Parts: sequence; structure tokens; C-alpha cells
Amino acid sequence: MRGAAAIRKRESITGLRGRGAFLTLLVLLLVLSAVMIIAWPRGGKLIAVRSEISRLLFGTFATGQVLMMAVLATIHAAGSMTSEKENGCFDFILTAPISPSGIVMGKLFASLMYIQLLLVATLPLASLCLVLGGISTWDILTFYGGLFILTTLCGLVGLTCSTFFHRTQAALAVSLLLVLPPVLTLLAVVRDASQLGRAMLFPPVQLVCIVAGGLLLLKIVNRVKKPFPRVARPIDMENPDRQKGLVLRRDAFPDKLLIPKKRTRLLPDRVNPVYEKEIGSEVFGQGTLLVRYMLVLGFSLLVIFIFFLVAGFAEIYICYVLGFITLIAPTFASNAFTQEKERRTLDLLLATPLKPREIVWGKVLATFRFTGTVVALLCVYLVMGLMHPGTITFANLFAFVCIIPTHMFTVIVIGLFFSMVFKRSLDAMLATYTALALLFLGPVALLLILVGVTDTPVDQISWLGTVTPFLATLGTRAVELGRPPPRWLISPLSWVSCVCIYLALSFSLLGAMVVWFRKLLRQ
Amino acid sequence: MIKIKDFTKKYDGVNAVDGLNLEIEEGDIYGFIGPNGAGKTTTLRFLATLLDPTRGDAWICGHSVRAHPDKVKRCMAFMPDHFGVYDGMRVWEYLDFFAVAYGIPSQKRLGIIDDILVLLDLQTKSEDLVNGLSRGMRQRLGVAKTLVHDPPVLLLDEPASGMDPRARMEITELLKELKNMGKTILISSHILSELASCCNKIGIIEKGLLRATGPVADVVSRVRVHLVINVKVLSDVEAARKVLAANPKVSNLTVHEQDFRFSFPGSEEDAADLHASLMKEGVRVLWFHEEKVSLEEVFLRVTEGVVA
Repeated sequence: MRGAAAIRKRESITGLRGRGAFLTLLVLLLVLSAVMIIAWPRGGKLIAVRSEISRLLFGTFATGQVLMMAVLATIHAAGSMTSEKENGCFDFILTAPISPSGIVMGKLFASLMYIQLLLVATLPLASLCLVLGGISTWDILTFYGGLFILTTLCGLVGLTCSTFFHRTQAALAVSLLLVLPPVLTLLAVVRDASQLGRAMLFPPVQLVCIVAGGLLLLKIVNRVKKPFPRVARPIDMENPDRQKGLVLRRDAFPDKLLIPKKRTRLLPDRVNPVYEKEIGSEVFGQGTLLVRYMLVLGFSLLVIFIFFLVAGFAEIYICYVLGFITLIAPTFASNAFTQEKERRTLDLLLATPLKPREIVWGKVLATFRFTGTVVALLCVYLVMGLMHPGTITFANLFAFVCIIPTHMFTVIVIGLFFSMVFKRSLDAMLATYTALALLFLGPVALLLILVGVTDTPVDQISWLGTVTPFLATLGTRAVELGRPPPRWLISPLSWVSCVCIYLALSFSLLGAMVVWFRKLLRQ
Repeated sequence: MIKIKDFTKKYDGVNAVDGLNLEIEEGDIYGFIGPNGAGKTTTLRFLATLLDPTRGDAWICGHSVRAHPDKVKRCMAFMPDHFGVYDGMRVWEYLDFFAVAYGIPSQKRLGIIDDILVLLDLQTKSEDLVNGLSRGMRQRLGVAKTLVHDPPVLLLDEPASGMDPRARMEITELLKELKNMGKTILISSHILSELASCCNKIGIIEKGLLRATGPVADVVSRVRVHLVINVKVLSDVEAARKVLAANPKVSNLTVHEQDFRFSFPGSEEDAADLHASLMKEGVRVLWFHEEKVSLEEVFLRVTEGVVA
């Protein structure tokens, strides 16, 4: 543990000094305050009703809190080691008289300290539920105790990925894929997020957490003890014969759709060189490990969701695909320009006569192709569903075929936008995920609060069903299958409005990026 | 070929460059010298169309940097002081990417890339991955990249940074070769000896202001107050010392064994007379020469080590 204090102090100072720390706190408090304000009971309601509302309110608050804190803890820890490697500072730390366990514990404490600070900052908001009754101080304290354990575990997963990967992009993508499915499963199991504390403080669960945390720490310390190669292993050194698990071969179908074969000839005339560069070298410049992890995790989760498809709930299956896109696409899109800035290749690109639209479009297309191929592999089962009566119809398929690419395009454009605005990949990714959460999950949360907690008439808020692809997807099949349509649904064709809204948003943002190209990229 | 008029760039109210006026003629190798933070990189980035000025404009090959950046980009190439490379790309692919970006047709590209690889002595590295190259090799690749579209103007910011002495000499030779090819080169460097051997003009910038500019010899003569002469004798050290001490124009005389060094504010004729008087006294003179003023000395005298 020698030197842990020095690392922790430095990390804390630099972390808290930045604008990002303040903005994260601000956004978090604003979102949670908005939840409270919207859901706060108005008028003279009976005490029993107020207690019920209080429990619902605290449950909604806790769900949002769990999701946000899990993501934030993971993101913060996932960038802690990789940022040192990317900045070339890791050698300084390794050669300083700081023990490997000191480095790891310093990094972990620094990452978690900020998250715990955020947790404490939200405590007054959660305590407001005490005023309404139905919730005790013990309920709040156990919830926060459970959340503390959960965020520590998420931080450890992020730190593990950060230690093993060379790029923040890779560490972040894999750690989010590792963290989010269990967290969502946990929320689904406990049903009421406010009961998370009780679940996490249950002795056998605590034991599992301690053992898992200890193993992860041991793994990280062992990795830090070994010297790190200065140059990341280039793609050509990746021998498919030596790869474990999923193997990608550039010359085999469908792998070659994902990773094109290495070029042996010059580029043809009149191609977009940025697209060719991105797809030919950049996406897989650091090897295929990240992609293989993504595919393995994506298909592992698919095994669960395929049951929904078979059971006739294709819309839930599509929601999983949309969620997968929301997680995966930003790891490439929000990195597109920040990587050029961090690596100092942006000036080289900007000094060429390439037009802003060529550069932006090249990056959009490359990310779209890569994400599209992965998603297409997940969607193959939809076509198979067509052959199974009652599972899916051509009309459904058409709706999904419109919703999925639109969603993907929007996510990519938003990621690219923040990649242009921010200097660091980590900041761009954080901003992208925050924006996507507000855009896609915000209306869902608002709808749940308004319908479940307040007395707002449904017809006043049914428009919310058109502003997020998740709600639009859920509404596509309701009428067709003879199920009662969701109360919030304007019509089964809500998805058409949703697609139009998101296409308009994406193209507007794309246009703004091209027009403000120089301004956004100025360093 | 390059004309800068009243270029001013302010960052948070501080002048990084203040009213810079400069003209570089076709075929010149112009050395841009200055301490860290003096405004060299700001000027080069402005010329490379990567920076909007607070005031002023510049013209490269007659095209305004502000009004026609696209035309400027086609007639110049920029090599930044620190630049990265793309992961997973081979050397030839890297050059091919930039060649396509400049719209060079494929039938010409192969020949161009081969020629450049030979010129930069990179032909053996052609199939290597760019992210696996050493720093010196990356610098060479950076220079190679600037040549793909055969621009008449090259803007090179610290091109020899990180190179070993042999590689630096090779880059200096390459610059001379490029000059012979008719290129106009604006180069900034901290390694002044390297600039002295290849530049025909220099500009010294400090605190955003151009302190001195012109042909190297002119700038040196402006800085030089008087001659400094070095003499080495084979014998009669004492006789030589007496002759030199007796001359009223000799000052700051230092003697180290058989070597004499002194300041001499007289003319070249006066120096010739002094040499003759030594010979007359029977002193066997091995050499008698003016000490060259190095660019380092010029730089130190002109600047005060102040940054913007």
C-alpha cells in the first residue's frame, strides 16, 4: 500500500478541479431534483395515499440512482489507468517508489471517493421522502449502504478493465458491458430498487461481493506488477490461431463484413479516404479483442432475450437490440475525433483539402458499418421469427427495420458531436451516455412517474410515446396481437413519428457539425 | 511566395503573436527561431489554415489564408511539431491515405509513394506498421507525408525533433535537396546549428514580436559589434603577446598556451596590418582568423529569453 495516499491525493485534486466533476454533480442533482419536483404530491391528499406515493417516489428515485451511480462508478474507474497509459505517464508511476498495491488502491480510492461524494450529495433529496411518510431513515440508510457496495464493485470492474486494456475506449466499452447486464438483472430481481440495500446487505450476497472484489483486486495488482509494453500490440501480431474463444478471420464470411481484409493495393480513386482509413485501420488498430468481447457478451445476452422472441414478444427483443446499440455505438462514435486530438493526428487531417462533410461523413459511415454489422448479426433471428407463425409479421419487421437503423444513426451522430466538442475521449463518452440516457430513458421515466405517481391525464402525456424508440418499439405490436394497447400510446404507428423525429434530429446535428466544423474542432 | 501581414493572435487577452509582417521569397529556406512560447507554432498553424487570426492575413502562392484556405491547402504542406500516426496502418498505406486526401489519381500515386520512400530512405520500412516505428522514423514519415502532393511550400515545425545526430544531418541534406528542387521552406527549430547550415534567411521571434529578420549573414553582421580574432602561434609566444598588447585596437586579450583570442574593432585592413606586424617580429603564425558568430550567439543577443 506504499504511496497509495500520494496517488489518491493527486487523482482527487486533478479530478475535482476539472469542470467535468462539477458538471456531473450538477446534471445528477438536476435530474434527481426534476424527478422529485414532478412526482411530488400536490393538494391535500390523505396520509395513506401520501405514504404510498412516497414509497413509489423513493423507488423511482432509487432506480435512477442505482443506474446512474453504477454507470458513473464504472466510467470513472475505467479511465483511471488507461488515461495514464495514453498520456505516457504510467512509466513515471511504475518507476516511482510506490508499490503495485499502492497504485491500485490509490486509483480505486480516488475513483470511488468522487462517486461517494455524489452519493452523499443526493442524500438530502432522498431524505425528502421522509416528509411524506411511508419511508424510514433505516430504509434510506440501508439503500445507501447497498449502493455503496454496488458502486465499489462496479468501480473494481472498471479498474480491472482499465488495467488490462490500453485504450480508455476499450476499457470503458467492456466494463459497461460487464456491469450493466448484472445491474439490470439485479433491479429486475429485487423489483423495487429501494430494496436493493436489503438485498446487498444480505450476508450471503455480502460474502459473494467480498470474494469477487478480493479476486478482482488480486488480479489487478498482479497485472500492475508486470511491465506494460510501450506500444500496444498491433493488429497484425494477432494470430487467429492463438486467439481464445471467439476468433475473427478477415477472409471468412461474415467476419470480413466486420473486419475487412488488409489492403494490398492502393485505394481506388474518388473514395472517401477517411472512411477507408477508419474501417481499414482505425477501428481495429488496437486489435480485435474489444470486438470479440462485445460479440461474446452481445450473444450471451441474446440467449436470454431470444426467449422473448420465441414467446411472441419481439418488441422486447428489439428493445434489447436498441439497448445494445446504445451501449456499443458510443464507444466508437464518441472516440472518433477525440482519438485524433489525443493522438495528435487531427492537424494532419485538417491541413488536407478534405471537406468537413467528407471527414464527418466518413466517420459516420465507418461507425455505422461496424455497429450495423454487429446488430445485423443479432437481428438475424428476427427473419427466422417470420417463419414461426404468431412470432412476428412483415409489418412488424418493416417497423423494426426502420427503427433500428434510425436509432443507430442517432446514437452515432450524438457520439460524434460530443467527440468534436470535447478534448478527451472519457469526457466525450460521459457526455454522450448522459445525453442518450436523458433522451431515451428520460421520457420513459417521466411517463412512469406521471402515470404511476401523479394524477396527470394519460391523453396529455401520450405524446411521450413518440419521443423514444424504446416506447415506440413497445407499441408496435400491441394492437396487432390483440393485446390492450399501452395507455400512453397515441397509435400503433407512433414509431413512424419517432423515426421522423430522430432522423430530423440526427440530420440537424450532422448539419451543425459540418457548418461549425472548424469552431468545434478548434484546440 | 509567403507573405504575412499584420498577423496578430490573442489568447485570453495575451498576444501570442503581435503584428507579424514577413515575406519569404520563392526558393528560400527560412529559419524561424525563438524561445518556447514565442509564437512560432502559432504562426505556422495560422499559415497551415488551422488557426483563425485575431487580426491580419497571409498569402501563400498568392492565395489568402483566410479567404481561400482550400487553395492554400493544395499548395502547401504542414508538418506539426508533435504528431501521431494512425494505428494499424502500414507506412505505404499512410502515404496512400494522404495522397488520396489530396486527390492524386491512382496511376500516379504508386510512383509518387515509391519515390518518396526512396528519398526519405524508408523503402525498407514500407510494410511496417506506423505505430511500431521509432520516433526518428516517424519524423521521416512526417516529412514524407508533406511531399505526397508535391507542394511548392513546406511548413515544418521542429522536423528534426527526436532524431539522432546522423538522422538530423540527413534531414538537413534533404532540406537542401528540396531547396534545389525549388521548394520554399519555412522551418522552425531549436537546433540552431541545423538551421545555420541549411537556411539562407532567418527570423528571430520573441514574445510574439519579430526581433530580427533577413539573410543569415545580414542578421549576424547586425548583431556583431566587432571582430573577434583567434591566433595560434608555433613559437615566440611572448613576442606575439607583446605585439598584440601593443596594438591599441586589441582588447580583451586572452592567452591559453599558444592560442590568442581578442576583440578587434578595427577594419579588415587593420587586421591585415596586425598579421603583418606579427610576421615582422618573426612570430610563426599557424592561423589567424575571424571567429565566426554562431546562430546561438545571435539568438542569445537578440532575445532576452522572454516568452509571450
